[in-house]
Amino acid sequence: MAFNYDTYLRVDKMPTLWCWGCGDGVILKAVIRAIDKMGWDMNDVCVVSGIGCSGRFSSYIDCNTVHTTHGRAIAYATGIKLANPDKHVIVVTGDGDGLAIGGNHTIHGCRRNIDLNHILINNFIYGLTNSQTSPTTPQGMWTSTAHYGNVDPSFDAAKLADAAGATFVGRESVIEPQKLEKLLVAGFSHKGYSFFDIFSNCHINLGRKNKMGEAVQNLKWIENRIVGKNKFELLSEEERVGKFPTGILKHEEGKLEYCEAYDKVIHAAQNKTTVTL
Amino acid sequence: MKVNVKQIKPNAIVIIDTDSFLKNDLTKAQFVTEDPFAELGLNSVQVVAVPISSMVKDGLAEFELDNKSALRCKNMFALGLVCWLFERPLEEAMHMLQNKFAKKPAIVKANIKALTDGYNYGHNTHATVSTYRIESTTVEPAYYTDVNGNKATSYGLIAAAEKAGLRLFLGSYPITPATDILHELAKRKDLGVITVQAEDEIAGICTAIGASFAGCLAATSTSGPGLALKGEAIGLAVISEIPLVVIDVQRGGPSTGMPTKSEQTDLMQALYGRNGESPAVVIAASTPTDCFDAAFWAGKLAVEHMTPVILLTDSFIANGSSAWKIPDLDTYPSITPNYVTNYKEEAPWKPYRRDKDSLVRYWAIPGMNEFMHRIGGLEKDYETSAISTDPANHQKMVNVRQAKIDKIADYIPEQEVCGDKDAELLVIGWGGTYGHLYEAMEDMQAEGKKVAMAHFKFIHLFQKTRQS
Repeated sequence: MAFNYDTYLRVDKMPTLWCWGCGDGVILKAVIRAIDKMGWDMNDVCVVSGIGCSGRFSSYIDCNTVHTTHGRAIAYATGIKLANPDKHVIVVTGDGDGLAIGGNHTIHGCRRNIDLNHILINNFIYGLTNSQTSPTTPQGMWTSTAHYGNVDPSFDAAKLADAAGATFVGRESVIEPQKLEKLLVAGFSHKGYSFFDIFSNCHINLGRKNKMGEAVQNLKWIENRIVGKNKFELLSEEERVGKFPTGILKHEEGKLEYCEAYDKVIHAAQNKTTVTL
Repeated sequence: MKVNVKQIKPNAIVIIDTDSFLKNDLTKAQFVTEDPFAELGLNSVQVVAVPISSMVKDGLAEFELDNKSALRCKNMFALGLVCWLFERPLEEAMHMLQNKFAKKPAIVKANIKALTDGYNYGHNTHATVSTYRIESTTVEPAYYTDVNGNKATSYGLIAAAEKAGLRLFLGSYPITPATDILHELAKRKDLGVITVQAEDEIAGICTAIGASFAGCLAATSTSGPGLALKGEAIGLAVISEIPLVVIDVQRGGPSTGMPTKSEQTDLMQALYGRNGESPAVVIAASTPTDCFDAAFWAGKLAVEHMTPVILLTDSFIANGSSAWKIPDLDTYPSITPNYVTNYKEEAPWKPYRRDKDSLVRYWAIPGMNEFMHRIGGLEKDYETSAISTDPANHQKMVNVRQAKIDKIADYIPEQEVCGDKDAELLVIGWGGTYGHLYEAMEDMQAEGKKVAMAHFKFIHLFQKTRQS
C-alpha cells in the first residue's frame, strides 16, 4: 500500500507555495517517512523553521511548529529542547538562513551538541527573495547580486558543522529520496546535534540564469557535484575539486548531550554534590 | 585586614590585592579557611579584588625601577581605582605627586603611571560598587536582607515562576550593567532554574521565546544596546502572542555610550523600538527593592496576558542596595496561565482564538494531546489562524493586539498618589528617579507648598491610573 502522507500534513494548507519541481517537497516527504519509521507521536514532535522557502516547512507538517525569524530557528529550538528535552525537535533552515544570517547559531548549536536535528536545505541561492548570492553559491555563478559572476568563496556546510562540534553530520541530495530518508533516520536516532546538508534544486532562481532552468538540468548539475563518501575517499586531490561526499560523514557516539549535561548539573545543585562532565 | 577588622564598617568597600591573598599568605596570617572574609565575619562588605602587585609591576616595567621601588607605587594604583569608582578626577593626585617629588622626576612619572593604570583598570573592567543605600525610615520587625536591584529582579522572577507553577528559563548574553541577573539566576540551579549564556543577544531572547513556547516562564536580560538587537524577536513574541519578560537595565547611550553609568534613557525604545504596530507592556521599577515587585508583575502579566513585557530598571537601582523585608509570597496575587484546557467554546480551537473578555489567546504547550498547532511571525487570520495578507483582517488583528494590551489596565493595581490631598502641583515620574522626586516633594512641602506625587510603574497602561 502506498504511504499515506496525509496524516502527517496539514492538508488544508495544500498546495504548497513551493515552485513546481522544487526539491523542498522531496525533503518534506522524506522527513515524514523518517518520522514514521522512528514511530514518533506527532504530539511530541516540534518543527522550527526560519525565513526563506525552507521556512514554510513548519506550515505544512502537522505537529507543534514555530515559524520564527530569519536565521534564528536554532536559537528558538535550543530553548524548546532545554525546556522540554523529551520532545523531538527538528530545525529546518536554508543555506542563507542557516549559514549567513544564522551562521552564528549554527556553529554554537553544533558546539553545544544539543539534541537537535538540523536539516539545512542547501540550494546554493536565496530562492524566496530572487537569486541573491548565498554562502554556498559556487564562485563564478550568476546571481542577482553578482551579475558578472560570484566572487565570494563558498562554505562546505558539512565540514563547518563537523569542525564546530556536531556529533552527527551527513549529506544527501533530493536526487535519491530513499538514501535521504535512511540518512534522516540515522540522524534522528542519534542523541546529540545531527546536521544534514541536503542538496536541493532551485531551477527557478539559481537555474534559469545559469543554464539549468529545468528541474532536471539543475538536478543533473547536483548529481555531478556529489560522490558517495567511499568513492570520494579514492579520488585524488584534483578530482575532489567541486565534489562533495555523501552519506554519513561523521557519527561520534558517547559524547555527552547538552540537555543531559544540564540535567546532571541541576541534579548536583539540588543534591549539593559535585559533578564531572 | 585581620588587624584592622574593627575599622571595617558593614557594607564597606574593600579593595584587595589578590597577589597577597594567596594560600601561603592566608596561612601566614593564620586563616584556617580559604575565605578570610567569612572567617572574620565580614559578610556584608563589597570586595573589589584586583591583582594590584602584578599589575603595577607589569605597568612599570618600562621605567626600569627595582622591584621594591616599583611596588611602592601600589598605593597610587589603588588610589586611581578609587578615583574611578567614585568618579573623581586624577588631576589633584597628579598635582600632589608633582609637588611632593619635584626633585625626582622618575618617581613622579612612575607614580602617575600607576595612578592612571589603576583608573584605567577600573574603567576597562567596568568595576562598579554600590554607592548608595536607602534606609527605611520606619522599620517593622521582620526578616530583612540586603539586596541590590539586579538581585531583587532575579528573585522576583523566581517568585513569579513559583506562583505560576512554571519552570523559570533565562536566555541571556553578558552586558553591563545587567549581567548580575544572569549571574544570580545561574546560581539557582538548585531551584531548577535554567539559564543559557547564549552566543549573542539575539540568541538570548530567541532561546527564551522557544522555552516559552515549550511551557516555561521565560525571560531575557539586557541593557540598551542589547534591547536594540532583540527588537525583531520581541516583534515575534508580540505577533505570536508568547509570554516573555524582557529586562532592560538601562545605561547611558546611544551606542556603547556609558556602560557603567546610569541613564533613564530607553523608554521610547521600549515603547516603540520595533517594526510595525507592535504593542507590548512596559513596566518600570523605582527602587532596588521595588525590582522584586516589578519583576513579579512582569512575569504575571506576561503569562496571564500572553504578551512580551519589557521591564525597565537602570544601573542606579540595579547596583544600589537597600534593606529588604523578605516578602510573604502568600500576600502576592496568584498567577494563572490561560491554558488551552480552559477553552470551552463550540467552534474548534485554533491557536489565535481568544478569551472574550481579556482577548488573551489560549496557551497550548507541545505534548498536550490534540492541541498540535502552528504559531509564527506571519500575520494570521482572526477566525481560522491561517496565514493571511488580507488588509481588513490585518487591521482587525492590529486592533485586537492593541486592545488586549489596553485591557490589562483592568487587571493591575490602581495608581497610588502620595503627598498632599489638596495639592496644587502633581509631580509625575517613573523609574529610578523615585527617591529624587520624593525628596524634591518634601523640600517643597517644607517651603509650605501643596504638592503630590504619582510615580508610574505600569508605563503603558495609563487609563485606569489617570482616572484615579
